[in-house]
Amino acid sequence: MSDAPSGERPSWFKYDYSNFYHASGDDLLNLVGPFHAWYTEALQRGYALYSEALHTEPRPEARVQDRRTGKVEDLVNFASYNYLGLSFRPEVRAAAIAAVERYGLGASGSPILSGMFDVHRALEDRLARFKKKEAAILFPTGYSANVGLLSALLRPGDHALVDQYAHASIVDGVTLGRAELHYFRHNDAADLERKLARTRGRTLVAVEGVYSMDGDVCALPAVVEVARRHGARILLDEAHSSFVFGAEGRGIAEHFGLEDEVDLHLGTFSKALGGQGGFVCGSRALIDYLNAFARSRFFSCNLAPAVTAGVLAALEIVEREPQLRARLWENVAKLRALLASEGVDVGVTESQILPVMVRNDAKVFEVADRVQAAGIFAQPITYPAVPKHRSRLRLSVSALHTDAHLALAARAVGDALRAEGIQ
Amino acid sequence: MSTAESYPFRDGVAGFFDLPFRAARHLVPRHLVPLERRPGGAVLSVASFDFHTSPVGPYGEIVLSIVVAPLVVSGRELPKAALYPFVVATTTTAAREHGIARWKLPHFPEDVGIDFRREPGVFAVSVVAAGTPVLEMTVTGQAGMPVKDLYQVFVEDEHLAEVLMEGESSEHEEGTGSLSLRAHPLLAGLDVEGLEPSPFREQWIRAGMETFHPVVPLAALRRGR
Repeated sequence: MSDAPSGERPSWFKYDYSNFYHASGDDLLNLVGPFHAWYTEALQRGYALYSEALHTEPRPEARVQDRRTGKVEDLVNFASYNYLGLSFRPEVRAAAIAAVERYGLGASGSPILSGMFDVHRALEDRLARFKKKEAAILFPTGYSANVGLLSALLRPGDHALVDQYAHASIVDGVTLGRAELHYFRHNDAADLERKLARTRGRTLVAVEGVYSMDGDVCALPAVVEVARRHGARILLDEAHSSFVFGAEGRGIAEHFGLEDEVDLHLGTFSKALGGQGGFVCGSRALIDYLNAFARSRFFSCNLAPAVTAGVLAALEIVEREPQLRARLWENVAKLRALLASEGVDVGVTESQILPVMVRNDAKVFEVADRVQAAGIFAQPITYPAVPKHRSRLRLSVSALHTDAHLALAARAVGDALRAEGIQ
Repeated sequence: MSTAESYPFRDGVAGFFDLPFRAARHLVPRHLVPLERRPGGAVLSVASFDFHTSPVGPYGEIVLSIVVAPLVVSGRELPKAALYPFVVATTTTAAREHGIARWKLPHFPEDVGIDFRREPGVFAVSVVAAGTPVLEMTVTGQAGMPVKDLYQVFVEDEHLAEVLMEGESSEHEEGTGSLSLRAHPLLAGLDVEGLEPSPFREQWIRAGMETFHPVVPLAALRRGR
């Protein structure tokens, strides 16, 4: 893949996305041409490993189309967030199909006008009961849930203290709310405390249950203790932890016994439930307020009724089949052990997300190419998605992966790293 | 003069630090925009070079800059980054006078003392002026790879110099370096409230070369000349 002498950066690698984001000059579109030139070359190289089209549902064995050759291959899928394999369960399919038959394709309206259907209310009620909260509100996506929640609550003069690795949707929501945005060092309650001590007024602390790049878990007890002492409200985004953590699957807050200490519970339907959309759960008063002020929700079309029905069916499965979570954690433990036996570093993960640390921003693409050639579908993750020199291959474990899948992945990763001189 | 000038160095290091946007805005002329790495956050670059050869002999240099949005001109190479140095200080008078006359750089009006300390994996820089400590910075690094990167350096009087940086470069975001600043006239105008003391990015170039291309007026670049 590299076109430069050994050890030298390939020419397309001189730049990354961040080089095409800021510019001055006299033409608003002056970055479009340079980006296109770079991207066209990058697409022939490592960047072809992104946005490869799946030709099947996101199951453990999926058919994936190579962007360079056009060839469709059977690969073992460690890229999808379908942690419990619910997106293609017969009950979920049947519920979605029945909903299409009943409601057609889309909601055709905003949830505050004509786009609210009985199936949306059913999901809200079921979700609130599951999370043991008074009420729930749905959003078209997880991204719009954060943007809507935060811009509904924050105003100029407010303060938001956000973990430095928090998702872009949290940052964008705070920006839209025009609150003052402060970052604290990742999972560092002492740094959070230092920064909270300097703020006055309405203050929010925003953290995630599981961080999607490192797979580590929020130091929630320490964060709650510091936030409470300074009178700050707490948002916990459980996008990657809902339905998989906690004895009953209610997430990291349940895991730590802190469900009543978190003020704003947010999650998504697009990972463990295998669907689409986001949600916030809380008091009826909070939900009514968001109904009134979350612009990303009421200025959008509501979630498609068919997706909503499928998500509802998936939630019902989560409640009646706790063994799915048990199987997921067994698979995580097995894969971690196999990777350890191959000498693979998985960083600080404590979850179903296993980052295979490469720490070489050029070679991560070569590693990913070898792993895919060995039959494993997983993406290279590099700057600016993660810090420079902390590039990795990200593996997402599913409850439905078999022992053979896990063994193949560990061997492929170990072989690729050794071939590239990473270990 | 219209020729490029090269400055070979033993080591060149840079720490990049998060600084509130309002602090950076204050330092940068109106025609430039501090680059927001994150909403509300700009970037302070603290760089230091140990030049072993130059038109004015060997010298040490410290450069404090704000990272700004690059000027993108059709047909010209996109830079790796663009910088507005708001203060430069050197260890010799000849280097200072050369930097002002040749490159329109905003020099601190006195010579400074710069101590470079190299240990395995760590490079430390200490700057003193008239015997008073000004700053200490450590940058950590690993094995480097050959680089040849173009930078834009916005200088006085709305001019621009394109600078090519070559060498064996290590660049990472492990957050293992450090910066300590003292109140000193060299740092006048820099509001350190909200400045993160640990660099989010560290770069260390060994056995390198900095090549300055002739300074050009921004107006001419905008006209495409």
